[in-house]
Amino acid sequence: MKKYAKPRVISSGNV
Amino acid sequence: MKPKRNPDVIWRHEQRREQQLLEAAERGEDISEGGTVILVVNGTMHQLNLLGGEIWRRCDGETELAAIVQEIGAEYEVAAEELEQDVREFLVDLQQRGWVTDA
Repeated sequence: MKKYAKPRVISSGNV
Repeated sequence: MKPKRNPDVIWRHEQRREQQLLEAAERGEDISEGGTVILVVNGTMHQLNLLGGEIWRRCDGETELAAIVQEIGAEYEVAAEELEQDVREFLVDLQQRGWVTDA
């Protein structure tokens, strides 16, 4: 089984 | 609810990166900040972490939320109730951003 970490949007930045 | 990705969002599943992160997790490292899916929305880039990517990839507009929870729950060390709550909260976040709708 894989370890769990909560889902989230982690970053954003301009292309 | 059958979450569906906004077709205007360009995205890519970084499978090699995901494999590296899974290996890091096995070594006990915190990978919650590691991106496995890249999104481009209106010229701005975003990333989703491992579980975010697992959910996003299943937002095809044909998969019920319960099925998404069941599939992911079969692969990860997490209680079903906690996972369902997290998936719901994550999808609300994505809906508010306009990246996902309810098909």
